[in-house]
Amino acid sequence: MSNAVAPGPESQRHSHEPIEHPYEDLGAVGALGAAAIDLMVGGRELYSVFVRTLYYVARGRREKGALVRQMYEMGNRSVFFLSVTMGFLGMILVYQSGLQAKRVVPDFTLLGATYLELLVRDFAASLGALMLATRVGAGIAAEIGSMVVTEQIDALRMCAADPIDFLIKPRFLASIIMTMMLIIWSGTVAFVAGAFTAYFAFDVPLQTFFNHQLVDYGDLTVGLTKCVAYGAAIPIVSGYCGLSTFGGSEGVGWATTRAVVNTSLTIIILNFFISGAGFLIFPG
Amino acid sequence: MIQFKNIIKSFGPKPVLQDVSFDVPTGSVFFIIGASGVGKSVLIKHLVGLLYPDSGEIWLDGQEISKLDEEGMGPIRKKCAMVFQHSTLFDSMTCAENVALPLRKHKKLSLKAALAEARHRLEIVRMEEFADRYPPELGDGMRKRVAIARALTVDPTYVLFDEPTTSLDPVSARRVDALIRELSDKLGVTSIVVSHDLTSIFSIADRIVMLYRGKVRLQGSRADFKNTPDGVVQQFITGRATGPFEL
Repeated sequence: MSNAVAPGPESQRHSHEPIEHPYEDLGAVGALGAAAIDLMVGGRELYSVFVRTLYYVARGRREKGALVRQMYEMGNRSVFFLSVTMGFLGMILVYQSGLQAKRVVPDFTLLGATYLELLVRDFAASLGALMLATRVGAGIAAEIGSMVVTEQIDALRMCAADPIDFLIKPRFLASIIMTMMLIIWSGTVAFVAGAFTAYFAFDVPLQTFFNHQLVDYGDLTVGLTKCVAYGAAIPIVSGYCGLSTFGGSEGVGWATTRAVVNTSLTIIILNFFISGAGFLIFPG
Repeated sequence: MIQFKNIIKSFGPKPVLQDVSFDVPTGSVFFIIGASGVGKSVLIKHLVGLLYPDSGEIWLDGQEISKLDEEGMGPIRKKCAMVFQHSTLFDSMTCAENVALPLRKHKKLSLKAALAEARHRLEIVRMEEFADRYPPELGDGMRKRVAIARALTVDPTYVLFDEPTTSLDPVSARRVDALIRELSDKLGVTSIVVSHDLTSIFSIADRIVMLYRGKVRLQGSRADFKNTPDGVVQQFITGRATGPFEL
């Protein structure tokens, strides 16, 4: 396995090269074609980063303390942010669902059960991962992007340390573990926040709301699969955005923005495919 | 012996190096000089596969290396170490850990053995008392010396210095100069120094090549540069604001 670093042609850009606008002189059709080629090249390089990360994970050698440090950075430092956002989202979701239910069938006995099923199967993982993409994904891209423009990535290559092994792998493992933990935690926060909203807004007793009869193994499997998939996608996509940084500090800004946008898009696309597969495999 | 043969490199539509050719003799302190942005750093990065030429060849001790892949570049990077312009130490590691990294990766030493060897290497650059400090706690000159220690850990035959004295105070700059000279005189290391620090150039250089507008303008000894009638070179080495030199 080659210990190549920055993916493909991106590594051939000079890190201090000013950002140019390459599509300006191509005309509409040319610009569209160039953008399509860029997208294909980007997709191939992203795949290469993913495969090489898996290779280094399988090889098993780890930097002492790197995984724990990343778990702390990604996990512990995101707990407050995720708890607050998911708590408020939980309250809003239950309040809006309650208002709708009140108009159609003024019966709240299944409000908690349906909300829990929705959380377990989809919302906890997807909303939580989108929140993590903004915090963790932006952080990864900014850190690695800064390392690119300050030549630290080149220095790593000179030390025979592949940045994928040295930087992406610990973040990949930490993200899978901590995304799972954070989503389970923040899903619980969203559910409890929703329960209190239902109690105070619609007089739904807590014991009625805490109803898990609609949640089955299929929901759990789909939800946990999403946690793993999103946990893997965040560091890969944002790490790739960081590694392909060019153009100095302006480039780091662009890399960070691209990381948040691309990671969010990846999460939404993954959600579509995993949910689709989930409905086919676990139709109940 | 290093040979650059007809190197051409562009970034997008912007040509940087246009048919650059010269040889670097073994054991010398070889300076590459020229205005900022002329492609000096770009050129030396070609030597260790951090960039690849659009066309041309690079020969290192009889081996053509410009088309080697990342894996093939491993032994070359062991032979040619590089000290980057901004030192590029890793802030999350102590100085000793920074120096130990290439020992662990290139030489496959255990962490304990690598750290012990790193402390010894830091002694050579008189930084042993800062072994457990983190790079942000050090001044620019100290960081540069740690970066030099890190580069020397793999016992390279060639060391590439990218603007080693830029942003250093005069005393630290002269210490770095002395260290570069010492490497050549005592260890026989060939140093390739990218710089526009005139004091450095005219105190330690054995050979100098000047790049101007992407091409080699002049190569020779310090005396050749001092005595050349070329107005562009004279303006550069005397630092005059007016003259034929175009940026």
